[in-house]
Amino acid sequence: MNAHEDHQYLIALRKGDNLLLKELYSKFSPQVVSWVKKNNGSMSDAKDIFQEALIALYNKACDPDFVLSYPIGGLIFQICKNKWIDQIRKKTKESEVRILEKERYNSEQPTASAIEQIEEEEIRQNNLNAAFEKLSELCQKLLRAVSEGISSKDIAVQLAMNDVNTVYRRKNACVERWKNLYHS
Amino acid sequence: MEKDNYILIEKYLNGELNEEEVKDFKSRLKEDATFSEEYTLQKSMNIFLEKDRNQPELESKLQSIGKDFFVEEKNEEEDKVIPINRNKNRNRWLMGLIATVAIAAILVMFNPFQSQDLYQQYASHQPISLTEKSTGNNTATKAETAFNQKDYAVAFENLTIYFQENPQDPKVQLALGISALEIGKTEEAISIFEVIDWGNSALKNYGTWYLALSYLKKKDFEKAKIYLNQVPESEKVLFEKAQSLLKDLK
Repeated sequence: MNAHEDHQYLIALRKGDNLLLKELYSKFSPQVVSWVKKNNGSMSDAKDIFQEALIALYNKACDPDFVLSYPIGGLIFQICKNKWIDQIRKKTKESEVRILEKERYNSEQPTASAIEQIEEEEIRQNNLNAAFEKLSELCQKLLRAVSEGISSKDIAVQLAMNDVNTVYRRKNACVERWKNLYHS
Repeated sequence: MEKDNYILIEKYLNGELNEEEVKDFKSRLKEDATFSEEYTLQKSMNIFLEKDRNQPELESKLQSIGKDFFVEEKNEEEDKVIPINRNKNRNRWLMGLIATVAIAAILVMFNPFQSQDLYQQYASHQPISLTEKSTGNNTATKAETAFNQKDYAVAFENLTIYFQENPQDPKVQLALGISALEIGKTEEAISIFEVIDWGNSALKNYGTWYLALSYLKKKDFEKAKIYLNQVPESEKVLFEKAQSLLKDLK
């Protein structure tokens, strides 16, 4: 799959590129605002939904296997719609939701699989987060340090561990525990 | 066994496998569902740790950008979205601008301040006037007085509060940016000026000019030049300043 030129926006999310992020807002927020408002939402609802959608996209921007192969606008719009439908489902009558529900999945859309991937990743990230919070502080520090690219030698000093091997063993144990918590 | 998978996946994700190994790895992903699940989870763990580091900053960035694009309008028409201020206030703006431009012109011509530091030389800020809009507003008065007396730390404090109440006023935004720049919060200043530069307000070109000044202060002369070249000729005073600074930078 070849990357669409809009893939640059994913990179911008990952790198925090202000200029491109603003472009995302200026290009795609008006459509979302008008749709959310049409469906009983306020400007501030639209703002929150839009930001949540960008964070959901950001998850996938960090995934080396994810390539955006079509324009990002439709994707953002659909993620926002799904999020808004989920929200009003919590507080509105079933009949209204049913009408909106039609807008949710449209398997004809080329973006359907990407949206599914993005939504799955979001759920996985939430569960990983819940599991991570149950880890000991030492495990959290250790995993963060490894991810930051700090050398095992420095980590050993920072976290008062005997040697590089201890760091390595502890790290594996922490990863195991994290996985178990995730699955439990 | 599982541990071996872990190491193998880690190596793949770090790009440490050779071509042959990558091929094997990919075909295993297709054939072995358990392995593929393990891979997905491990990848998501890496994503999590990266996000854990960077997401707070991204979120606050999006928050501040969002403020400018989701503006609740008074008496708004249905479904009409105006991401950034348009010309509503243009006339008042023009009056204000003419006055400020005149002051700026005087400052430029008779600037007694000759410093070796180019930033100091070019960073002459026009006074602001906020109180006409909201008389009796204490924060506004404090901000205005402090700003015009060049007490930028106090100005920054009050403008921050006032800006939250008047997020649509580019004049306040500009003053906030200038105060941030003057008290050394350069990055914050840059992000504020970027919003102005990006928008459509009458102060758009001031956003461009102050971005140039910010980079000048950071001694990033190449970036400063880029923005200086973007100041349009129609903005006469700024254009002349920009051209003159460009010459000084050569």
